[in-house]
Amino acid sequence: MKDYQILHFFSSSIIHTTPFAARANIAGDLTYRWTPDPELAVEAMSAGLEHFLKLVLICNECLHLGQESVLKGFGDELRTLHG
Amino acid sequence: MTENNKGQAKPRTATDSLSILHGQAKRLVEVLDGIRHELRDKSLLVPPAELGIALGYILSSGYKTFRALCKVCDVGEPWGQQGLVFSRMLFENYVTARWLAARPSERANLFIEFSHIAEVQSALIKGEIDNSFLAEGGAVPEGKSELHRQFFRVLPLFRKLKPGQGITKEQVLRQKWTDRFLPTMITDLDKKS
Repeated sequence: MKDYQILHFFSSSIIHTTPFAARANIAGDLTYRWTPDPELAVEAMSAGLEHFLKLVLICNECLHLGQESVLKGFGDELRTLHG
Repeated sequence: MTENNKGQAKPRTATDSLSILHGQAKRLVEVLDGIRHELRDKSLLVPPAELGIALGYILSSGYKTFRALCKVCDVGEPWGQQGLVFSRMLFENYVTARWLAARPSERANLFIEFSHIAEVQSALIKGEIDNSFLAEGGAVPEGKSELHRQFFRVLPLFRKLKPGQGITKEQVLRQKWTDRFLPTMITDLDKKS
């Protein structure tokens, strides 16, 4: 994996988990959202799927689990979904 | 984009995207459900065995985190902010697995041997042992002599904990198996690529 890819994932994970209050316009909006948040859930699910898939790929390679073709299919689908 | 009943394109909603992602997640979980029993046995057989054990542990931990992420981001009631916490944990699992697999013979063993340090950390937190346990000739509570022996056996493997220099409870509690923070591990990986 290239440096920029790792750094991209790392930085996006940091941004993802920055407390919501820090991302909101604190000066103008202290209401926060005490409700379910589908938009953030999409971010979480897509990032989580990507990280987990990469973890499974490494384990598959090192432990010879024989799931190459299935996992490659997931990777292709994810790329299609997120451009 | 999806199409409505008049054939016009309409933007995909967050709920639509979430449903698609859940479909993919379900299928990925099914793949792992299909191999996890095999993996449990196989992990002990794949050479080097230490790598199988360590990666098997990280993968099972990641699997549970991923299942939790799917529950938290349920389509009906998606708590995205908490989902992102799980997503970061999966990222950490992924980086750890990569770091481990880069030098398996050395690092997988470190991962496994750290279990003795972790057991001492747990016993310290619970108050089952105290500072005297951390001295080589110190008092050892009943039933903890094997842990004491293992602790001093693996101690030289971990940089910050050197026997003979006196070890404090705080040092033991701060110790990590890699002796590294996540950014350091990423830098290590980048150097190799």
